[in-house]
Amino acid sequence: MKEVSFKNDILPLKDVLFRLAVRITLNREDAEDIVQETLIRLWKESQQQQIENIKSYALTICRNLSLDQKAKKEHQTESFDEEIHDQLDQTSSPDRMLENEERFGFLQSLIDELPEKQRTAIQLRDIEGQSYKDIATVMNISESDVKVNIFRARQKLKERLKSVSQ
Amino acid sequence: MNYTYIEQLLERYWQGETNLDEEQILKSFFCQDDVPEHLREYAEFFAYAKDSKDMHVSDDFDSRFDELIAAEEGRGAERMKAIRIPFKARLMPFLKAAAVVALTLTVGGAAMRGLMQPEDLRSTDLTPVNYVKADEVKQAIETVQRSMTAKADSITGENKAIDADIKKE
Repeated sequence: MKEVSFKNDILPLKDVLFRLAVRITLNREDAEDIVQETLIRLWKESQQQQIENIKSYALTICRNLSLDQKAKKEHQTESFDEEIHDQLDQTSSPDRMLENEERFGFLQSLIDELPEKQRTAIQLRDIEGQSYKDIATVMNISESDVKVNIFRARQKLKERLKSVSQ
Repeated sequence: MNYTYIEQLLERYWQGETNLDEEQILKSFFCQDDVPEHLREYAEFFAYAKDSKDMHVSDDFDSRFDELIAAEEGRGAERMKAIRIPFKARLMPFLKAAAVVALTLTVGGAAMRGLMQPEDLRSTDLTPVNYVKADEVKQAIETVQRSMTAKADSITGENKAIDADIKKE
């Protein structure tokens, strides 16, 4: 049984987990809390059982926590969409991030407007470069369902990009 | 320049038919400076996909995470301390009570034997003389018992003080 090192195997996953959590919760602060929780859970689980694909396992925990957090927020507020976009604006402090948000703000909102499954599938495939198999594991759906979600998401993105350029 | 390959790749990409290597080729192509006019509408999208991978947690994430872990470990240690100390302290009254009983029996027995003559110990009849001696023995035992009770009270007081200290911790 391979011994899992927190420093070498778990902590380096923080950024990929963060990006997925932001994509689902649309809130940086919530996403960082979720990453912390994911890392702690992952470490405890790795001490109790052998984890075959640690990255997929971490992403699965992170997605579930993000969905829980999103559901909690939706329950708390009547106008979730307005609130999350306000929060995104308030928490994006570093200069480079602001520049990128100005440049890519439209594209970001384009992806953020997709249904969660399509959004997560696009995040994991087009940004993180994950295989369909790994995405299916993380999302707990079949590979063909992953492909369907990606196809639908890309079709919507293509249409929107075309309509903007015309 | 002929862009047929890229155009075909792009079409397959929108259909969800490309593999990871082909998607990487598209990202690299669209992130160049000289993307042809008719494909430029998609360039920003691929640039965004590439750039998004650079997004990372706040710079102070690791230090905040270390603090969180230290706090978790601290709480764990506190819980251990709370369990260990009362256990030892709670054993003490039993030991002290056992010591008091043993001391009372030893001193009481010794006093009884010391005050009685050998013939008194043999005799069981309460003649007037023996009756007076028995009364003296009774008084001596009562004196010893009073001093033992006073000692036991002071030990009880000490135990209460220990319990109070533990609660404070």
